[in-house]
Amino acid sequence: MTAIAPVQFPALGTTAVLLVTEPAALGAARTVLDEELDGTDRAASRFRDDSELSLLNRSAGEWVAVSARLVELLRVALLAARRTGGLVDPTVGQALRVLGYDRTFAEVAPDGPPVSVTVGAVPGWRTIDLDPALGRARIPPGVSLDLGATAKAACADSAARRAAELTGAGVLVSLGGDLAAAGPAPEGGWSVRLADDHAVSPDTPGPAVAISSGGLATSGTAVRRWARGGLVLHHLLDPGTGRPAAPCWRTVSVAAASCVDANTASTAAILLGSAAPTWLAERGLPARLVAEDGRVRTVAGWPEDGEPGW
Amino acid sequence: MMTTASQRDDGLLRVKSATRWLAAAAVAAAAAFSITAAKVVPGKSHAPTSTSVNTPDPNAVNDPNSPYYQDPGLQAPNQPPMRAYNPPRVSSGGS
Repeated sequence: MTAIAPVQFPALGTTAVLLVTEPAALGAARTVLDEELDGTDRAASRFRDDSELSLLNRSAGEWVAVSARLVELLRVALLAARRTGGLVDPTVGQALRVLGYDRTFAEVAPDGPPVSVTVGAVPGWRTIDLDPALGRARIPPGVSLDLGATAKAACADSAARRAAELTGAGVLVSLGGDLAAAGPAPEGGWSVRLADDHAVSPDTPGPAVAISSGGLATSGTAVRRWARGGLVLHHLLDPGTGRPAAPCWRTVSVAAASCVDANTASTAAILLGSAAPTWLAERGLPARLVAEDGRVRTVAGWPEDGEPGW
Repeated sequence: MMTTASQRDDGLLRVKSATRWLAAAAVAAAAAFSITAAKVVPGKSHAPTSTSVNTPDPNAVNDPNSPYYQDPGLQAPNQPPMRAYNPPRVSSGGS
């Protein structure tokens, strides 16, 4: 089996890439991916006025009827928060907004005047009420949810799994550089270039690894940055302070059983700073961490950087 | 003999009375405990299946927000990433 050339297109404010091991499976796999992307966008976009999440954010304090998809995405976000001790917290929406990330990132001004705001700990994921049986959710007044990272990863997992089940082919879905693989992998696995920015061409020289199943995600502070009053900000906020995480790792790549788990762990690792390698190793999560000065550290069986094997 | 029988009957009456008082006291104590417990750990008023941080449901083992949730935690991959032997077709990086 040989992985065919990827299909690449913009989606969810980032880039979607789809690879399949059988050319005949591409059309059906693309249809599945489009369905998942559309459903995720309608349910969980923070930047669409007509999304279910926007309605929930506008209805703080009230129970709001939500679809099965948003119930699942909220559940995934709550799981991520629980599994990271609250580090990956969906209640950072308001903090992101006041720091200037209040629209899709392509429309965020790269520079601007100082923001005069009072920042502090975010409300916290335990303030969210979720009622799966009745299909409804409630958040306290003043709280705004951002499901960005976990929703994207869940979309990749679901699309890859559904497409593989439907076609019988191996499928790899990348959403903004967060990858989910399902079905039979090509010989040698799915080769993945590792970079600061997911938009870097895979042909660019640099480290690469191969995965055969599950997920691989990279979180970093080198992209999705903006400045206010000369202060450089990024989108990975420390829930304890409501401010961007202190600099320690430029990027962290993690492999896990799913894209959601990989994304959850890589985001948490950025926020954990120097404690991240131990935290990842304790969970048996293979990871590659690149410090701000470029030094690389690997844990839990992640291969050392080396010369290309092709 | 009459005195002994009378003393026995009086004793039985006292035991019977004490038993009644003990039973009544037990019922009263159970009621008081129930009222206190209901105030300290109030039940749910919005729906029997809903989940709230203030009303933990022991049956909510599938609700991540419940203290009773049985969480397997973050799952490691079947195998760690391998060295790549094919040219990459996709990149992973910050987004």
